[in-house]
Amino acid sequence: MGLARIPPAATVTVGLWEAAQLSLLVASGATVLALGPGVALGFALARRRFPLQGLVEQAVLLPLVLPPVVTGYVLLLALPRTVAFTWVAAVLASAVVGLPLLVQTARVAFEAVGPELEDAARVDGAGRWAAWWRVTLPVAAPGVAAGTALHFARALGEFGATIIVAGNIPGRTQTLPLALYASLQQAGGTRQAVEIALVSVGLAVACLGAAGALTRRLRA
Amino acid sequence: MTTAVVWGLIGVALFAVAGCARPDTPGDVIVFAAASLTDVAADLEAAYEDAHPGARVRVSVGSTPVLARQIAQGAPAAVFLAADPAWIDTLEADGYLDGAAVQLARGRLVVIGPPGGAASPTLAAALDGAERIALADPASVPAGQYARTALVRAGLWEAAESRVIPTSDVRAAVAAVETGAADAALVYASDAQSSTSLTVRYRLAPDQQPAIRFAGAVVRGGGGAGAAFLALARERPRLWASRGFLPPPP
Repeated sequence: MGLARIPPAATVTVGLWEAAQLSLLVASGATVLALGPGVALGFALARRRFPLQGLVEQAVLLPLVLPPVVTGYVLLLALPRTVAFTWVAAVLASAVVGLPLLVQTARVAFEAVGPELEDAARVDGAGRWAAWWRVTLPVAAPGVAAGTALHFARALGEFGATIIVAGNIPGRTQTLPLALYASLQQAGGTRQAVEIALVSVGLAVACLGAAGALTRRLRA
Repeated sequence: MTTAVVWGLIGVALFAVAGCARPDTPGDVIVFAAASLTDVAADLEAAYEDAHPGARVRVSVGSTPVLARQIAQGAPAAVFLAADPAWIDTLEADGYLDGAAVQLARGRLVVIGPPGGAASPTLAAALDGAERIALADPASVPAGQYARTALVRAGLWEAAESRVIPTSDVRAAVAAVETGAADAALVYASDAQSSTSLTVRYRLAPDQQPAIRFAGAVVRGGGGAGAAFLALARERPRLWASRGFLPPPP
C-alpha cells in the first residue's frame, strides 16, 4: 500500500471551545450549588456547638483527603442512573470535591468576626437573621469570596471524580482536563493537547485575576 | 452591598455561560468506541453527519472494558463499538443492549518501535533489546490480552513480562512509543497506521495471534439513530480498509 493512500490521522472531535464552555458551565454550576451549603457549614462550624460536630467536620474535609476517584465512585453508587454520565453529574462531582476549600475558608472568615459585633447589632434591635445578613456576612465577605474563588478554581480543574461519575463524552461531560486526557490517548494528539493546556492555563490565570480583583474590591 | 456584588458577578458568569452551552441536546448520537477504533469512528462520525444533516455524533473513546462498565452503569451511549465481542455478549446477556453483536472488522497485531528502526525477521527479534514494551493493560484491555496470547504462544511471555508497561488502552501504548516512554509496543496494525512517527518492526502472521474481531451493537434506548449509525458502520467496508482493518468474517 502506497503511503499516499493512507488517510491522515483523524482525531475524534475534541471540541476545544466546547470543552472550555462546558468547563466554565460546570465550574460555575458547581460553585453556585456549593455556595449556600458551604457558607452555612462554614458559619455553623465557626460559631455553633452542635451534636456530632466532630463527625460533620470530618465529613466536610473528606473530599479534600480522599482520592477524587473514590469520591467519584461513591457519587456513582449514590446517584440515580438518569443523572450519572450527564453534565449534572459533572457539576455535582466538582461541587463536592471543592466543598472543603469553601467551607474551611468561610469558617476562618466567620471565626474572625467577633460575636460581639453581632450582639451589638441585636442590642440595637436587629433580628438574628438581619444581624447575620447585615453585619456578620459583610465583614466576613472577603474571606467567603476567597473561598468561593478557591472552590471555582478547584471545580475548573476537577478530573478524577468527574471521569468516573460523568464519563468523557465530548460536548456533554468532556471538560478541559478530560479533553486533554482524551487527546493524550490519541496518536498525533500532542498538538491538540498543547492547545488545550494553553487554554487551561489562560483560563486559570483569568480566574485568579478575577478572584484577586473581587477580593480587593470587597476589602476596600 | 458587598454580598450583592459577589452574587451579581456569579449570576452574570453563570448566565453568560449557560446561554452558550447546551450540553444535553437530544438529537445527538453518542457513540462509545474502543480506543483502537478512534480513527474509523471519526470517519464514521463525518459520514453519518453527511448522511443526516443536522445530526451530531459524539464519540467517547476509551478501553473496551471501561466503556462497557459505563454502559452498564447507565451512560447514555446509543452505539457501542468494541474491540472484543465478548464484552458485547456480556452486556447483551445483562439486558443492556438492543439486539446482538454485529461483526464489523478483523484486526491483526504488529510490533512497533521508534522511527528509523529496521524491520525484524522474527517476533523475538523485534522485541529483543526493547527495555520497555508498552501493552494495553493485559489484565483487562482486549488489545493487551491479544498481545499476551500471541507472546505466550511464541514462548516469549515469560521473558517479556517484566518489561511490560501496561497502558490504559491501546492508543496510549502507541503514544508511549511515540513519546519515547517505551521502546516497543504490540498494537493493532490499524493503530500503527494512525501515526507517522514510528516504525512497524514486525507483522504477526495469522497463526501467531488469536482471532481479533471488532463488533458493534445498539445500546438499549439507542433508538433509530443508534441503529442507523451501526448500519452505516457496516455499510462502509472501504472506510475500515483505509484505516488498516480487515473485512469481518463472512
